[in-house]
Amino acid sequence: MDTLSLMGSGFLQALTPLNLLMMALSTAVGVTIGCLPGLSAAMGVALLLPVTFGMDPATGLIILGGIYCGAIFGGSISAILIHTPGTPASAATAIEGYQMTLRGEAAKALTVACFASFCGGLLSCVSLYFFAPPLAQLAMKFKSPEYFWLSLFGLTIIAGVSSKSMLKGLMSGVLGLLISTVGMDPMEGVPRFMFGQSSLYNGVDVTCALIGLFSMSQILILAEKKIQPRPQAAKFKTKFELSGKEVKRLSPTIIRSWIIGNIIGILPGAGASIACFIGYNEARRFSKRKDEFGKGSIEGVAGSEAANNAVTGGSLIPMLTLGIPGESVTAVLMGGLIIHGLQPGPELFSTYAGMTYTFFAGFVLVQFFMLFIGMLGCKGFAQISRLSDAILIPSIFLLCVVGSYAIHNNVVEVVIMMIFGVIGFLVRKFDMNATAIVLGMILGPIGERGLRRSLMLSDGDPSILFSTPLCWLLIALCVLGVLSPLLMDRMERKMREKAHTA
Amino acid sequence: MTRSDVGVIAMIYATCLLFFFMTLNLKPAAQIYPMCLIAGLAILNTLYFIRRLAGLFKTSPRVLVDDLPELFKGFLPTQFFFVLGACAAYLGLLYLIGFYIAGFVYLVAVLFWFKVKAAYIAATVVILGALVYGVFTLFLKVPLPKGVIFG
Repeated sequence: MDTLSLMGSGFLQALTPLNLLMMALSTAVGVTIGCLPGLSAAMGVALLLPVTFGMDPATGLIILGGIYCGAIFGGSISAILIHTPGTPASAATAIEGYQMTLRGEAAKALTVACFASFCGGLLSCVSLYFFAPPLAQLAMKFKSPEYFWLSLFGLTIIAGVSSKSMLKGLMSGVLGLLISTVGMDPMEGVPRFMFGQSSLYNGVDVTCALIGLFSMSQILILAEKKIQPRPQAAKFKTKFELSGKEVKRLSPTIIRSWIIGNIIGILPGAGASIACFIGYNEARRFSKRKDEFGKGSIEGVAGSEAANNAVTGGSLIPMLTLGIPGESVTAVLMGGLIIHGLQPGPELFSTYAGMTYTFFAGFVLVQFFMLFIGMLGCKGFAQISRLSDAILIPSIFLLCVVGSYAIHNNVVEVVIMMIFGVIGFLVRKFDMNATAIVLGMILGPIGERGLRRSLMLSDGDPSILFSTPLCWLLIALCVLGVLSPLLMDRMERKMREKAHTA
Repeated sequence: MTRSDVGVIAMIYATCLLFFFMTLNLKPAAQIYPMCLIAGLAILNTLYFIRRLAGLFKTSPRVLVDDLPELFKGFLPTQFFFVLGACAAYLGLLYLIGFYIAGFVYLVAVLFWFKVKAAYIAATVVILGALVYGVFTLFLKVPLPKGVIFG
């Protein structure tokens, strides 16, 4: 089937009543999670991953996509109304958005954020449609040695997503690889590191680890400090509308931020939190009304929001085609893909092309739901964003328990989730990297299979790992992966400084 | 070099040792891959240790910086361990009296401890109960634990 007909059938499949209902629900849940300060998009996707188990993979992925997009937008609601970004991706939105709120223009700021998020997200789908299939074609040429290097490339990216120290990021990744060896040896058929637990025969379940590392650890982070009451959300004095003139004024900013967000999304290691600052900064640099910045500029809000939502589609490209998640949310999404029995890579665009294009179409439609839900539900979400941590802590814990239990209907998984929760808490406290551990756990089996199969094919000769130009290309990317965090750090710091000194 | 660095380095070496001794019990062919990973982790940890040590020698006076008060600034041990303990106790209750009753007891206990108003406690219990029942019991048909007493 050619691409156009796949796109068409994808939309037809995505437009079923069940899928539409799930899109609406997941986007609303995503916005709710996003608008609650302290809860992240990765946490939301990890928490709701088990809900998708019994579903058709396309529907399941649409739900996860809806939560992802909704949460990234949702963060702007609390950023604008209570000056507390719901997610790090909305940190730059808070600068101008809250100033607008102080001026009594909260409704206008939310409308701009919603419209810019919609445009950024929708335009990011364009690159998803156009860049993903050719990259998948390239991945078709990969054999065992290339898969080994690919997983190593993924691991070098870990250094990119690590918080402060590259070495700590790499250590976290190798720790993840070590955890991935728990269970049956795939070649020798002997049990490894099972601590006498037969339930670990198939290894540590990635979903359990995800829920523990991202959701359970968040409970402990919230529980360690005094619970502060959230500030009162601002009242809406103006209408939720944008004039044609304002749309015209925002268009160049949105297009610029879309390009920025998309490129940053595709680049492994970068993410929405970097994109929002770059988008904001470029909006200010190109603005004809620079004096408005810092006092509540609609261009500033649009620049940040369009960029962070444009990341969503872009970040799916390396994850779906090469199996390299560049940041925490896509790592969790990749976990979801694997749980549904799908391996990221060329097969998603050949054997499972129907499912993949249904997901793409769902991702497009989710943007429309985000626009409507965002516009219609702003007042409600404004109240939700004030929900106390005292209520969130036990509620999230119960969802963590039921989610991890539902994986295999086994209480042992709940215990594993809790252990990973404590590990996640310590990892965050001591500046290690939870995302890197998850990436290691996901990429571990791919790398191990690639390495051991290659060596088996060459009778133990390691030169097979350097035998093709693609191997060398991937080695070069590994080197680039190690160096990229230095550049990313410098860029983010520069952008933050510029944004705050404005 | 900080006290938290010492803790991280020690923990990683301990993990390496634990996995190393467990690897020795495997068949020789099955040892190679885990040994490579353990060696990689130990090397990275040693590099980190050397880097932090070098940093220590550059500073004057050469003392370990106690960063733990900064890391745990505002840490409320009673609250933290109550929440952690309640989570652990919930697992025991889950085994004994099943998901829903244990969930009810856990929610009420934790919310009461946090001094949440009774109306909000009731609303949380009802909304969360309905959500879990609707999604997991009705929609996904997950047989949630009934507990050894009621099962």
